[in-house]
Amino acid sequence: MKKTIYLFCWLLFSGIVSAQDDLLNMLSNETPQKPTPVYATFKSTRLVNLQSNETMKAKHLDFRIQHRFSSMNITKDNNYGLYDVFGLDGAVIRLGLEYGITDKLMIGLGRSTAGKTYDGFVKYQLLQQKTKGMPLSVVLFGNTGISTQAFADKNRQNFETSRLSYVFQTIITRKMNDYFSFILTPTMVHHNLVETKETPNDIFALGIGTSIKISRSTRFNIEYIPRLNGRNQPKNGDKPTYYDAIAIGFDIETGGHVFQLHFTNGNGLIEQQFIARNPSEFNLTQLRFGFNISRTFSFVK
Amino acid sequence: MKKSILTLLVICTAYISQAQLYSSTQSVISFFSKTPVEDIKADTKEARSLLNTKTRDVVFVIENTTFDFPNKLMQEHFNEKYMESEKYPMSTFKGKINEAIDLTEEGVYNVTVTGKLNIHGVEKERTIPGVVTVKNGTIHIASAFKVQLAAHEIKVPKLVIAKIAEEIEVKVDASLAQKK
Repeated sequence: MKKTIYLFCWLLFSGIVSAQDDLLNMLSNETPQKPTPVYATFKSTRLVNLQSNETMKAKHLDFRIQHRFSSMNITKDNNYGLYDVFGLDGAVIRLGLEYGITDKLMIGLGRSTAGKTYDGFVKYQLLQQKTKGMPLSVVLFGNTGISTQAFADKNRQNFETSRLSYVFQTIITRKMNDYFSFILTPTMVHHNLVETKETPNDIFALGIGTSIKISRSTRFNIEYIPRLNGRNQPKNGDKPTYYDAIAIGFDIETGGHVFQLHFTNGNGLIEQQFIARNPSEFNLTQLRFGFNISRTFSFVK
Repeated sequence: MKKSILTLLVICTAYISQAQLYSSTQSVISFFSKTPVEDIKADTKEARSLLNTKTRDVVFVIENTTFDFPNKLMQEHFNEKYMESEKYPMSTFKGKINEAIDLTEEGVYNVTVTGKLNIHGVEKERTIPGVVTVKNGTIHIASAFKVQLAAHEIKVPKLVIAKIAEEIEVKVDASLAQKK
């Protein structure tokens, strides 16, 4: 009888007074496996031209320089691009300050040389992809652009409201795995003033893009933003005036900076310009080299 | 009669075994990287620890994504590029206090703990110094030690090599109470 009790006792003790591994297992089992937000879907708040789902976190400021050179213009007349050094002689620039109010809400202000346009935007993270459960991130984006360029015809009756344009986007993204991320962006662009009666004020477009991780610090990005209506308006002789923007580029991240280098036919740096009013075709003549530089400052103590 | 003795025994053993387990779900782990270019710091207040006063076994478990950085960009890079938290979500330590101290006696003990430190999926045998303070039914563990990135196969890209120290200073500050 005694023996059995001892044995029983020993069994109990050996079961509970355990080795480190059992302690570790005990702790691991107790730790609830919470679904965590998926981070780093893209390197930056922009894919190339398109907004990505990334937002600046609370009290973080992004100073952003977006720069597009002139079209490469590889034609015989231009000495096969050498005369303008493949477009390096000219440039379109946007300088922006973009700030995270909360981890989900950011605002931005910018000024583009194209059309002497000021822009302000709000970007809000509605849904965030999680490791378990939520399969997508959904971000809402809206901006207003104000062109301050002098009216072409001063004798005509001009309205100040004609300077305004708006963009609404729903940015849907998914990080498939460590290497692939995808983006789908239904977009509406509204211009208060359009060129002709036939030209729609509202242009709808569907931005699509992907980002592929090359190394821990670099990614390769492609994006294409086909317009869904008004594709041939206004006409420019036999051809349409505007074309869909395509971009191919690389992200290089060096800690606080992200350098984005790319080739694109997109002209202008805000959505109303490169989506709805892009006059450049996707070919070697009209393609341009460009870069974005993003520098993040944290104001968290 | 036999049955009641047995029951008592079971209850007793269960009680004793629980009595010798101390735990914390709010242990503070912080780390610091210092270079002439940049200082990087982060901490978590959600590390979990467990100590067996009888066997002097001690374990720590940290979910890497709970580390909080003042700079969120660094936090993202920490998880994505360095710890690869999707692949290796936890950092763990399991070890044993070498000195034959009685953890039921109040006092301040300088100890060394020998065991396995697992960071980034790479396990290293380490002996780490620490101070154990037993007071008013809580056991406080404090420790400071260094972790070499290379030892745990955490590679720093050349582009940022000047910004991240090769050795990271880690501090542990845990107050363990008797496990209920």
